[in-house]
Amino acid sequence: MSSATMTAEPRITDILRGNRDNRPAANRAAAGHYRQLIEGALENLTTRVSTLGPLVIRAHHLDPVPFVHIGPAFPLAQLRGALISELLRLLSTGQSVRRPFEDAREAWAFSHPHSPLHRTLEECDADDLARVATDVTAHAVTLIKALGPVNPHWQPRTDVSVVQHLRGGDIVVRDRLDLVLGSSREAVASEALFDVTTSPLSSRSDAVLRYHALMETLRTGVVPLRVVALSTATGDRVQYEVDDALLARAVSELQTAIITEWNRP
Amino acid sequence: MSTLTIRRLSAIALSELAGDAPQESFSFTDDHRASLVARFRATPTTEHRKLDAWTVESSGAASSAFRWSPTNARRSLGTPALRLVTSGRARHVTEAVTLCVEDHVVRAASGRARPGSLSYWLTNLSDVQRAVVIADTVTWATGLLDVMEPVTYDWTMAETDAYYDVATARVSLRGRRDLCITTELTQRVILRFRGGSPTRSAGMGLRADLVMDGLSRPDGQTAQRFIGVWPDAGLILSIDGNVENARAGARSLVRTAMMRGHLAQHIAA
Repeated sequence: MSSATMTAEPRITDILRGNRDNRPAANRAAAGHYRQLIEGALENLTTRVSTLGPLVIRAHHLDPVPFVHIGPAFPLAQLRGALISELLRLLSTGQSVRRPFEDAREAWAFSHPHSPLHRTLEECDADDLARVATDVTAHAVTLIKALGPVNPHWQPRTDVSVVQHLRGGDIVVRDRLDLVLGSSREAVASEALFDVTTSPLSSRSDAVLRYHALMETLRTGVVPLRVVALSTATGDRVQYEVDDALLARAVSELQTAIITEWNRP
Repeated sequence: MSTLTIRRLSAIALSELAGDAPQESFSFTDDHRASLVARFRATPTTEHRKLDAWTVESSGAASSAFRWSPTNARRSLGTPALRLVTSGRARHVTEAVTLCVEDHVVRAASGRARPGSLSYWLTNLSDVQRAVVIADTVTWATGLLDVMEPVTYDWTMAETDAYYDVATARVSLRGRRDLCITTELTQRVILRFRGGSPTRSAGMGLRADLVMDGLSRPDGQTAQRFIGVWPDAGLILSIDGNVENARAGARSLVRTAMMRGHLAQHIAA
């Protein structure tokens, strides 16, 4: 598993595309193997403690610390993340963003009319709103500076949904990919996945990147080329070439997350 | 047999499903149509019922009033956009989708759009909102193209959905179809692209679409095979256009009409 944490210079789109001459052959055989590995570990699960429908697993379940919503700032941080993801969608279509907060807010409200975060926004007083607007603008500036132009020939897809049913439908594993470039139908590995986070990069963001790579492998049946994350909090980026070691680790992390959640009362 | 085939999504799987589709398929005769009308007319109703695969899959549950959104606009925009791409009239999906959106806006600006239409809705959106619609549609259309381009047979985007109106029974049917594959041996294999993952009643929905597609044709001939593609889940479900599937599909449509009728009566009471 090769990786590199970089300080600033190269644009995200350049990292995602990389050198086209150095791409490995598309791996179309691994997906079945990894699916078997995941299913194999789930065979011996005992009867589930909670019986309220299928167990749904998302990227946040990979966190070894239970996911708890603590503190008044949490919904605002969530909102900031949602708005920055929405800005990425606008940028990927070539839309020029002149008023980052207002544009992101308008786009998000339009595409997520029923989100519970609307309440968070409504509850903001003038000071809160000004703080969120400044915060989102600062993150947006980092994103715009780091991203680079998205060539439409690279087939950009945003907010891509992935859903996999395991153990005969008892377990539903879901994911959303912020940006996918390239195609899974090429003879060489060509799909690059990009994740934008408004938190600093950590071991958790690495696990999320591995999760994205595994989920896309299971969905398309083809191993993606690389995964890249950008923290708009710090400007740091991390990239991983997707290989067997990365996917094997992703499988192990997913198995652990499933078993933990399965046994949670 | 009314067997439902489930495969992992790949170009090879799609090519195989298209290539080995049965050469014969069921055709609705005038007698079949008359019998279906009689069954629909026998169902209670206080209102005109619009049925599609979704109402069949949701057991006739009443849907909320239709409103355009980025999610439901992407298919209406993505289909003509893919026609532009596959015919070489657009260089890439983003350009094709943008052209289609502009076309709608021009149509509305020149007074050729009725209130409530997609053109009318798009015209009243801001630039940012239109960019969201474009991003959603590009994602949908690119995903479809990614699945279809390596398929070894000729395929074309469907011109329209399948509509069939059973006027005397106050029932309108709408069968969705996204594209048609043609091979040397078979005439028509129809594909439908769906979001999310298939539900337990997805097979019923496919059979209903098969029936509505056949009924909408003057010769009544169903497709040789009807394939549902769920790119989010990486799954394909397919059914053959045989008498068993046609019968099961017709039965589920009548049952759904009956449920809708009961529901309307219940609400009216």
